[in-house]
Amino acid sequence: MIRMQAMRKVYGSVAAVDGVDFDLDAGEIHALLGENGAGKSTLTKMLSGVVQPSSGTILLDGSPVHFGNPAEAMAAGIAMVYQENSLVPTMTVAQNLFLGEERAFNRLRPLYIAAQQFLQSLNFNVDPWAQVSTLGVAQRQMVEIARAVRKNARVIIFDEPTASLTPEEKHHFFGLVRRLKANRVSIVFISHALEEALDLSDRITVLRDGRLVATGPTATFDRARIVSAMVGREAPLVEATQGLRNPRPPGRRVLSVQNLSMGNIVRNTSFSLYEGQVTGIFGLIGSGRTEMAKIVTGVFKRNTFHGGEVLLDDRPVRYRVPRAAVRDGIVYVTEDRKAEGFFDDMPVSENIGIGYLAAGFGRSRIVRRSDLARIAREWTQKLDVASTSGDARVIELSGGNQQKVVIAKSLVQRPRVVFLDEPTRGVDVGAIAEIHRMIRDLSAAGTTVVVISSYLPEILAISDRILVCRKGRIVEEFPADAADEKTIMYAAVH
Amino acid sequence: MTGVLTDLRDRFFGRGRHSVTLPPMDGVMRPNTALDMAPVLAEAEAPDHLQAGAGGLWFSSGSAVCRLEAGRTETVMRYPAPVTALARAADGRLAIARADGGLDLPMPATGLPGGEARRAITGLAFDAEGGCLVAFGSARNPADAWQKDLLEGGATGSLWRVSPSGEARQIASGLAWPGPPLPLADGSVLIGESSAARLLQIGPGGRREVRMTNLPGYPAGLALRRGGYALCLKAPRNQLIEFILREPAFCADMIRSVPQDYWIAPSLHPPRSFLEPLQGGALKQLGQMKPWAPSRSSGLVVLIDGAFVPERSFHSRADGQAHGTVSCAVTDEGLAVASVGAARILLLTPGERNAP
Repeated sequence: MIRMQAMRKVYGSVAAVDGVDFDLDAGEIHALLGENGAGKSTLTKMLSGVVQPSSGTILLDGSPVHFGNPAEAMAAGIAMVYQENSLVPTMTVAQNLFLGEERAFNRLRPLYIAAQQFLQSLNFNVDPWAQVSTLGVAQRQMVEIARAVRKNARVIIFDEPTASLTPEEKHHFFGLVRRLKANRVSIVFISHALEEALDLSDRITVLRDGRLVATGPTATFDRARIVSAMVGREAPLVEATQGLRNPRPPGRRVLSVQNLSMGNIVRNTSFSLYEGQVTGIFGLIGSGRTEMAKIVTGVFKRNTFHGGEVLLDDRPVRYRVPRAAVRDGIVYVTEDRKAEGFFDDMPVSENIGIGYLAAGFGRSRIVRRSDLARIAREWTQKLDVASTSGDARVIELSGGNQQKVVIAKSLVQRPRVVFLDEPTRGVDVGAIAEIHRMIRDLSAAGTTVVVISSYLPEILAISDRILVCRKGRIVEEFPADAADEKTIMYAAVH
Repeated sequence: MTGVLTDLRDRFFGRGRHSVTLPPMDGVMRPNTALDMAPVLAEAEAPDHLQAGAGGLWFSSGSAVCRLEAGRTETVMRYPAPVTALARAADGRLAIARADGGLDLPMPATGLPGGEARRAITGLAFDAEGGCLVAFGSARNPADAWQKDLLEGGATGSLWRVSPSGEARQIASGLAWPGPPLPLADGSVLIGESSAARLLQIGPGGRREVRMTNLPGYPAGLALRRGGYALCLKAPRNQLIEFILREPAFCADMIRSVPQDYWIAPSLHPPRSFLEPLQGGALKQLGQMKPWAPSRSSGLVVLIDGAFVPERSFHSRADGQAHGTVSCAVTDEGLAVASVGAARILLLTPGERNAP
């Protein structure tokens, strides 16, 4: 149905996509894989009219087409669901679903009823009356998907659609994709979760450094072959993160969270964190994991009355702003790096420098720019942030490198306790391995690390102990060597 | 001034030290069923005050003093009143305190509080010099009224030392229901303050150092083990009890008008009657007691290292029987633990790691 031939897109002197051929048949699910920066998004953006190709031809049903903008692509039946959110945050879910179809006078009630029915038909549990800004990342993603499906597109491009979905939501999503396929809708599926691509797709194409390196029916691929094609080498980095290891014994109790409460989201929950251990917190989205971390680190406020207690080294602490927590050595690395993690128009070095300034080291209020540059250089080297220079703006980096900047911005504060919220979401396999190694190094150096993740293999691979959160409460704890996916999931759901 | 205002504000909002919070039972304190699975050394009514040494394992059982040797339990002595404290020196001498105020020491005890006060002796121990340490749980309540003393917010206990020549000297006062003392090699004494949920080290001159605070239960018996200590927590703290402890009027009313078995207070027994306050309050789902179920009673023995960092713990959960772990002693076979709730003496053999 769609044939892209010799597609090429050049930014400055760098070719983001370089001579890639890509086919999509009617009713086919085609997985497009590659590390961050491999050119997947650029290729699909050319198809959806967001980016204009430098050269190459797009054939739709055998006829050459040119999409000057996304509206033209949409008119031709090609829709893209972005990894980044493209919803209007100040509007409700229903208004976003029907955006662009408004009449001069709209009756809201039928609009909401239609939206409710449509969301229910997709099995998406999202309130159509809710303002988008109040939704979590997963629910926004659902609205984004629903919007594309609603437009009856012939081709839907999903860019990392499952990164923020719970296992149950993913299950619904895969069902939806299969239903679309049955209706002869073609799907381009971009994902870093290789297992999903192997399960769901009919065909796999792997890009690396803007070039096509492998393509073929899914049956001819396995995880090892995909990873090898993606990273261009045998993949010890990735394999090293798989499987259980010997958990570190707990050191001294550093942080004790006692009977913490915040509305209905965090409900009278308690847990401890130990020196030199990686504590993995698993839970379904909405289970209150992020909120717990944000209360402890001063991002959110606990209940005014009887909101519980946080003890750092057996000393009660109560942070009203993150800065106070940072000064006590407690930092939070956000799950939503684009909104909260960095200043995207500022250079890498300044972003890291801001983290350093927030920690307020030293007595002097004056920090020399050269010192900041040196510190930023140290951390970009330490975390192997790939950028053309320290002056590169963060927005120009790939997802994995952006995440490294966010982590560096926190680690420069020399924390004792680090909360990493979904540290590898939307990050390619190579960067995942590097981030995991960094987490292990931190823990080996005696830092207390908390990893909040919805990806169970990650939790199992890097945690020394695993806490399971359900309905705002830590409900179960497993030593890493005695846990498996089934028992953890059971505790998270039941 | 700021501190006073902060404290007033915290009291109003229930924050800071005025918040009703409890330390989490996770990490090394993660609940397990080790006590319920442990082999039984002996069955006895209300076993307590385990004393290991040559001649077997001695313990009190109600009004009797018993000895367990080679798997056989024999009653050595029987008294008209329950034994509230027992100590046995390395040379075999015994010190015994009884609920009727009787105190048998191998030396005179000149200057030691007498009369009714002696009904409150909760712990005895011989130190390296042959002196005897005597712990009085309270100046107001007898030894079997620890729940009442807790509800009354009492901190009137004391620790005395009777020298080998028979002169008694007070080492510490104002203690919140001290348990059996554990003399250490440096001449200091380790003692659990039950009602304050903490562990104190009291130097020979009376200088106190808090070694462990904010314990998740009420400390009782202690034992020296290789590389550290074993600590028994006789009952868990829970938020309901912690809450009512801040309501003296309610506590006084409850003490006055409700039979003791049905108080909202920690217990040494698993539930025996539906009239008792709920244990696992409504958290029993599909017939299974949930692991976070709050409980008035449980079994908990903690191994702590020389720096007072918990290393490992042994539990009996809300739905178990080995509750009320009040005393422990290191024997050749392992760690013997007396469980009042199960009316048993259990043997913990923690294996290669942290072996006592």
